Amino acid sequence: MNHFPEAWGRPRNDVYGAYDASHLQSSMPNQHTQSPIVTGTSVVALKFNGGVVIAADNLASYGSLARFTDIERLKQVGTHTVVGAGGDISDMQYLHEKLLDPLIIKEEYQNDGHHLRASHIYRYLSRVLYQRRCKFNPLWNTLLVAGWDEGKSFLASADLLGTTFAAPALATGFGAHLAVPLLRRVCPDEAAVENITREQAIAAVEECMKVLFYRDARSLNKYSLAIITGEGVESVGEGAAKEKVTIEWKKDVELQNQSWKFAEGIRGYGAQVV
Amino acid sequence: MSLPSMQPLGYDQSYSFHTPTSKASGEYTQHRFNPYTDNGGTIIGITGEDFVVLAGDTRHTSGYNINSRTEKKVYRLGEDNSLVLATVGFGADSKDVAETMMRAVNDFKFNHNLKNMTVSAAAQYLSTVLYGNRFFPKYANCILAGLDKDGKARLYSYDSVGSYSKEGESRASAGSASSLIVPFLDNQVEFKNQFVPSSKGQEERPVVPLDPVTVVKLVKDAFTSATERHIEVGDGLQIITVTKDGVSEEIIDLKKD
Amino acid sequence: MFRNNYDNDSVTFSPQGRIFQVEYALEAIKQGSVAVGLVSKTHAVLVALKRNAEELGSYQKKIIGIDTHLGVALAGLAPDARVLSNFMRQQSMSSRLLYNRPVPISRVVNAIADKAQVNTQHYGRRPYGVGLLVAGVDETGPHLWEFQPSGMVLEYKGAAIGARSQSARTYLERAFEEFVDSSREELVLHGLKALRDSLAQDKELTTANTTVSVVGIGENFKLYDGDEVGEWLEKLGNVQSSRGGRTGEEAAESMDTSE
Repeated sequence: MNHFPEAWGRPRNDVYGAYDASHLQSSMPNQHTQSPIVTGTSVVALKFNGGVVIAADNLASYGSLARFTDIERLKQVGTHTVVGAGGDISDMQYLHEKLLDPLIIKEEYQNDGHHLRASHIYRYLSRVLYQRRCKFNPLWNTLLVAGWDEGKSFLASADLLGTTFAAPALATGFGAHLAVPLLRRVCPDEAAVENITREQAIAAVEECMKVLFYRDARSLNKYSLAIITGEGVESVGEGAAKEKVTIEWKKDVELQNQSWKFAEGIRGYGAQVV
Repeated sequence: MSLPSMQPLGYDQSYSFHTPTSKASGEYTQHRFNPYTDNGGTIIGITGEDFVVLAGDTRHTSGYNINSRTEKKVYRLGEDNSLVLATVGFGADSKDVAETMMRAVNDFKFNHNLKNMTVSAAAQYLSTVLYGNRFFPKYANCILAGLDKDGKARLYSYDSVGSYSKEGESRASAGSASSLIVPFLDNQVEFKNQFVPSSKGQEERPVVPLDPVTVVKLVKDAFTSATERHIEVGDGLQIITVTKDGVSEEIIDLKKD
Repeated sequence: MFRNNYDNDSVTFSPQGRIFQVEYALEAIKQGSVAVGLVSKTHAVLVALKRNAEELGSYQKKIIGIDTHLGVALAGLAPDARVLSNFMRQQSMSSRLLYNRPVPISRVVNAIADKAQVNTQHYGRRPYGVGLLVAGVDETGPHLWEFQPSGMVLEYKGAAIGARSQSARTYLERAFEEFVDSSREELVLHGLKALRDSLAQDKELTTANTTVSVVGIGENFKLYDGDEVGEWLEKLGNVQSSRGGRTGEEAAESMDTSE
């Protein structure tokens, strides 16, 4: 054993040769993230009468490599909210483990009847993302925040630039192109939300996950689905606001009733000649 | 490590703001995080003598995508004053500027014995905020309006680094369809290129202040026309009217295609 | 002459376990004019008596609005209250900016309590010389808190601080059961009655020396000052202390219940 703790546990120089540290001193300055590495694709969400449904598949890609097939990209934050993340997986994990989990723990430790709900968490995430983009060190994600807030369903989006917007039907990444048009057919505007049942909403989102799997090369046929439902808030009077929020999870859902018939008609790719 | 193929769709393909990946030097392609985007939309402000109208469409876009059909661009800077701010450009910067202004107006109120900031003070402050970000500009084009202490309508418009005219303006437009709208307002608010019929094009039509009904009509016409000709404009139209009796908001539909 | 060896700083206990500097700070509150606060199911009310140092001077400010859902009444050193209220305003604004949420009343009160406590544990620091009544509404309803320079904060149904506040407290103790179901107007009048009871013999509530504020569920913090107080004083009727034999039925009524 030598006297230098920093050398403990390292391969011995006399046996293995000195450690080649050349890669540690780069002639280049430190770089912030300029592109994501391990990524998740779309998150899809839709409001319905009494709640929101949100879904994301379980794949984390490394470029075109399907690197991890058991990644959970939806996560419950607090009691009223589910956050879905597309984009860089490590940034998503940082967001949850270093920011949101401690935030919720701090909030709940106060034990004063106040809780962070969907709109609060959404504002917090938006500010974090915006502040990071202003430091030229973005968290490379597009987030959907779904939840229940003040007697209404809540759904909004925030991305790595700090861009924020809300709509009754939202999808990130490839889903913005493929899923949103399908969802808008079910739910063109906020007024339509009250005519959509929970079952209809789930069916619409499941259909989107299928279409995305057909066409998005970075997607997977296994996904998670969270259904957030709430019952109205009684007018605040004595004591705490009373609302009952339940979050139902469906994990490791496999795509059902796939039909690849359409693939027969595709020409111009692969081995077929005519 | 950089794998160009992993660039998520939608970030570098904003067509109206396309920046080609630059060759920094030699053979390496430098990938750079672009902190800006354009979220489309247009705003208009028109003053009368003792009222002002600020309006903006409610479409929020990223490239060819419509993110939302219901994102408002016109903000009241407090519940008990006449200050109204419309911002357009990069959505995140726009909202940040609006929030900064709301906060400043609120701070001012509580620090000055519940007296509200005057519109000229708010105008100067907004310029200071924008210029304060001179070297990392807020990509937000602003129009600020309100009534001054005599009840006269004031309207100021800014570029993204805060330059504005202290005298104010009678009308302004900013955003993606402003180039379509400005000439229309020149003609309809300032009566540019209009002549007294009997003068054979010799005598200019005298400029008179407009009434609120006409102004709101002009705003609606401007936006329905802009919606026809510009893909980033449409969905809804938020119109905020400030008069001595208070501030009212109206939201009407625009074409959603 | 007697000299107290244990009051040179706020970090040294006396052998009896007291921190004299902190106790002196509590005395500073009693030098200030009275402030009364009370809550119902729907509203929180602050009323206070303003003093003018001299005839030619203006009246001091007793109630400070912090945000649309929150305000404070002070007794003691007004400059210290300004520092605390500015801090509360910052907290409130950052809560709105960061979480899109009006700051919960208990949180902002605990934040100033922590600030005050620090002053009692660092050499060379001075405790705040002001007591506050914090009234506000948040998601859990209307609240009234009392803040003391010791760093102590407590929630109340009704509270009074400042000179002669015991008389106001006596009224509150007698009437507090009615507060819960009181209307907005009834609650303010209860406050004013408590305030009036703390008046000296020859004094009365006027539009110049009385200040009232109300905040309620779905109702922004509203401060009544100067002429605006007139309507409340009219509703109150008798503007002199009802303790110790006044004319009118008000006085007669209070005679048989007063000690």
